[in-house]
Amino acid sequence: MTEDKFFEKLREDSAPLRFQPRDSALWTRLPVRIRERIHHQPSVSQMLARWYRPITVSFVALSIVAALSVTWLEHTRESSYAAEAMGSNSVEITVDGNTFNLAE
Amino acid sequence: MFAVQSEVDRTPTDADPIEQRAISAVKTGDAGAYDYLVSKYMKRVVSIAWGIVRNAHDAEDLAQEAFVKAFQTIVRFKPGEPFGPWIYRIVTNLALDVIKHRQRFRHEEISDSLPATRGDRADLPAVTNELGQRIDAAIESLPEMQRIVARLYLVEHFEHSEIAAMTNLSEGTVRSHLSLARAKLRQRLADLYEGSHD
Repeated sequence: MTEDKFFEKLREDSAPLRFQPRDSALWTRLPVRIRERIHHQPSVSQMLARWYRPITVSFVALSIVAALSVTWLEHTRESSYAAEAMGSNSVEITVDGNTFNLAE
Repeated sequence: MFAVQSEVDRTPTDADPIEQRAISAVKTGDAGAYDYLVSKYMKRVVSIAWGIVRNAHDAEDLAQEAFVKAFQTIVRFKPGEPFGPWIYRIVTNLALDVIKHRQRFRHEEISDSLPATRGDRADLPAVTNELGQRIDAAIESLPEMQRIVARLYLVEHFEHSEIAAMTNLSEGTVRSHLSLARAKLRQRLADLYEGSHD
């Protein structure tokens, strides 16, 4: 048998080897899956929403972080002012007519 | 409206006016007309994908992706062209991507010398006899690209030029892969074929 004849015979014998699923429901399931995908192509508004939604969420998250940071900074600054004020002003305590100055 | 006439899916579009009408309808926004194309080509598309990836679930997913991709880009499809070669090329490329991904995952290259390492015969036709199983095993033992090209030629009955278009290989490279595959298959199946005379 020549190489060519062998290959042609092999080709004939190989044809039945095409895929045949054990699960024959595949042939009804697949068109349904495809139909679902192509009938639910996103509209323009859905496309925009897909982009805008994460951007909006990011901005909101940034705003919250910024607001919290400003509040914390203000609070820290006020605390340091109070400490400075306490440090710079002397405190006088009078006991039995004697006056003690804590700053000295 | 678009009843599937047969599973013969290698006829040119000109020979199937329903296919031509379905493509035109899909292009003008009638997504329902796509059902005809899916029904006509899905078995072949799944078979091509399965022959490459050798896994029924992956083959189903690949067929789905191929049809969705074809639908999304159908406006670029030239009128009068047959749909078959186009969808076959899409699914082949998707399946080859899966193979490349698997190879990369295993830190290997698609090799012309190393044998392929799949063995999923679960979805071979139930009627497959010993001869079929021997042939399948011999094809599967070939190096990756030889295996894929041989399967497309021997099992799916595509011609050299069709395989070249589907795999993005030159026709010469396809012939070369087939020549090497033929020599190996003849050696491995010698006991089955050497005795027969035409």
